[in-house]
Amino acid sequence: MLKFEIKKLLYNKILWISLIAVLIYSFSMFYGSVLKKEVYYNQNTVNTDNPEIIYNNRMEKIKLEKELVAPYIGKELDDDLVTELLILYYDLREEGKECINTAPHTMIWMNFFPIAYNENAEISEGYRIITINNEKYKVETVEQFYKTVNANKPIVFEYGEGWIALTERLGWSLIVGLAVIVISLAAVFSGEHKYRMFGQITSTKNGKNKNVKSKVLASLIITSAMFFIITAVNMLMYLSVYGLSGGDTDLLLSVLANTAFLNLNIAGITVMNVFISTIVCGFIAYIAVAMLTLFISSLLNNDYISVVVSSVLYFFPMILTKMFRFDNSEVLVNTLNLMPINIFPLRLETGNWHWQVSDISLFNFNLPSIYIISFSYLIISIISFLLIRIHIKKMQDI
Amino acid sequence: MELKIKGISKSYSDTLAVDNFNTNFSPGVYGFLGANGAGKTTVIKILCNILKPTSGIVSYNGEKIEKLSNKYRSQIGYLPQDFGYYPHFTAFSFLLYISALKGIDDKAAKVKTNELLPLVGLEEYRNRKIKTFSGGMKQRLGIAQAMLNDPKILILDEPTTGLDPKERIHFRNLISSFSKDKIVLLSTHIVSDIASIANEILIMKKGKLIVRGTINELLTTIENKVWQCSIDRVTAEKIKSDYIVINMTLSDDLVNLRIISDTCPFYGSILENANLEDLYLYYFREVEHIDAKI
Repeated sequence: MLKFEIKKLLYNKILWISLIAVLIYSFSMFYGSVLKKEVYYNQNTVNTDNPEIIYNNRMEKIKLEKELVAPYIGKELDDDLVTELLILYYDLREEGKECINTAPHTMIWMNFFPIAYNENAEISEGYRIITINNEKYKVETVEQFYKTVNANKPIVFEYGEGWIALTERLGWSLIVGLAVIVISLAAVFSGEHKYRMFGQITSTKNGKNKNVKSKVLASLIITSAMFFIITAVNMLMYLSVYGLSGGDTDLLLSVLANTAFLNLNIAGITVMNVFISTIVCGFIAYIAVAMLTLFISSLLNNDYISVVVSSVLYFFPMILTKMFRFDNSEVLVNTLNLMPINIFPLRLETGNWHWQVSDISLFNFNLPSIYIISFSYLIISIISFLLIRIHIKKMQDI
Repeated sequence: MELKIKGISKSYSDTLAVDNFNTNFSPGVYGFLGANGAGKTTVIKILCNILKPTSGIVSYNGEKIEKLSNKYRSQIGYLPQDFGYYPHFTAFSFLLYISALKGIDDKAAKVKTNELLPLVGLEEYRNRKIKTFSGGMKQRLGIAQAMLNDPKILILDEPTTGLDPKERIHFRNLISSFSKDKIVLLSTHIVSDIASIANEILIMKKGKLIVRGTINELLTTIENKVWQCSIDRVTAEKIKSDYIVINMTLSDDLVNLRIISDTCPFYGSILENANLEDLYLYYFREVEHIDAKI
């Protein structure tokens, strides 16, 4: 029976159309961030008759950047390395080539922002004075940085831009991919009314129990397939350009730490950890959305209404939280952030620059970590399955 | 084997669709007659365990069907009035799917499907998508799916809808050959479908079972009441609402009428042998009277 239920789902043209649309969306993001033609001129020569081209497209930029950071990869983060990276940044700026130092730039400006030093100002504790190109700057010491972030092991400089780009873009592709799941599964139960099959099915031996299990299992197989297709395509695209290395990049040194994780202590977490969390929590969110969609489908007799209700339930919270600016202390936005769709970016868009923000609360209770929320969705999925079974058994063909 | 219906009623908000329906079935073919909206389909859905009665009990061999659950449903073959199908499935794969729903293993399902497709005249269309089928072909496929599990209880709701006369005859023969040691319930408002194959007839009206018996037993209720007469058009126009007019044909200046009447309606009327159609109209006279202009 399972193969027939899978076949019924695969016969749905909308599933294929929406899957292709998601893959096109993923590719367009990849194109925009990696393949797009983008000529960058040396800023010192840009207004001359013969401007020097630094790179012609993003691929060339990535290549240059990898060459640029190669000498620093594997080095432990200490005051010397910070100084070296700051010098690198200022030198590149002098040469009009600051465009090619995204990785060190991110790390430096996030954690070791150099403040122009005034001779008369006091040097606060945990800061040091460095001289770059005859200018003095006040910079936080690595020792102080380690203290602040509770780092219990030395942080090593790595080039993790590929994994970072993949994790960020994959999150959005998976969100769009949810539409495929909603559209494909909303008709699993309600569609039987459209085909006038409900009475025929429920009058058979397996119509009220095994068929429900088969429908759910087929839906989960399709859901998993969609998830892994989207993930695999994104991995293939980004890692083929950036390479596989750099997964050990500490999160504190990456742009991913710009926003606060949902009550998650990020000290000691690598970008690979974040990527794996995206996969695991994202997969659970997919299962949860699939099960909730199936439950809605079992409640409704019309597959179109089922699609609309499911879509509103999943996408409305995201639209609200992403399109409108809320204060993160607001009950509404924090409640909406608990919806499964908001699991994918794995963090709240707090607008806070610093990684330390992790005490997002709701009614004065700290929200649990993303892992606990994901686990809750696993429980919700199981409850949804049980409710579907009970509901279909009780359902009558009127 | 006995299927017993005891005092079932079904109401939808303020409408009573079935009102205290009592009967029992043992192996045989039963014709279930009634006008549209009489409540036949509701009774059938209750028998198929897809609708719960508001009150009353349906039992199979002494056990409630709700309790028997899938054991009972495995004994049923059901063709709904509005037969459902997946347009993109082929006839063959659709029958295999229904077989799976009925708990028939793959191998047996293929054997049974290969056996049934020629029986319903769909062998050469086995790999064609159902969306390309005519109404009659779909109905034949519906009959085949109902018979897949070799059911002990075969319930067919308006099974001959969309079938041409040749297909109807074929269908009747199919049911006759299939019905041995089985309960076959044929719901219809087309009396000719059941006239030759039903052992007993049940007539339902306004949610109630108003009469049940063999065809001969039922026909005795209108014995000596069916008349044939030829009268002029003006008289025919005047009397058409006074009698149950079953048939009316024109010949020259006269109108030939077949009438149900307790007494001789006109001088010269000839007493005719009653048939099932006369019986049907006798019970449904209020809505079935001929209203056409002569």
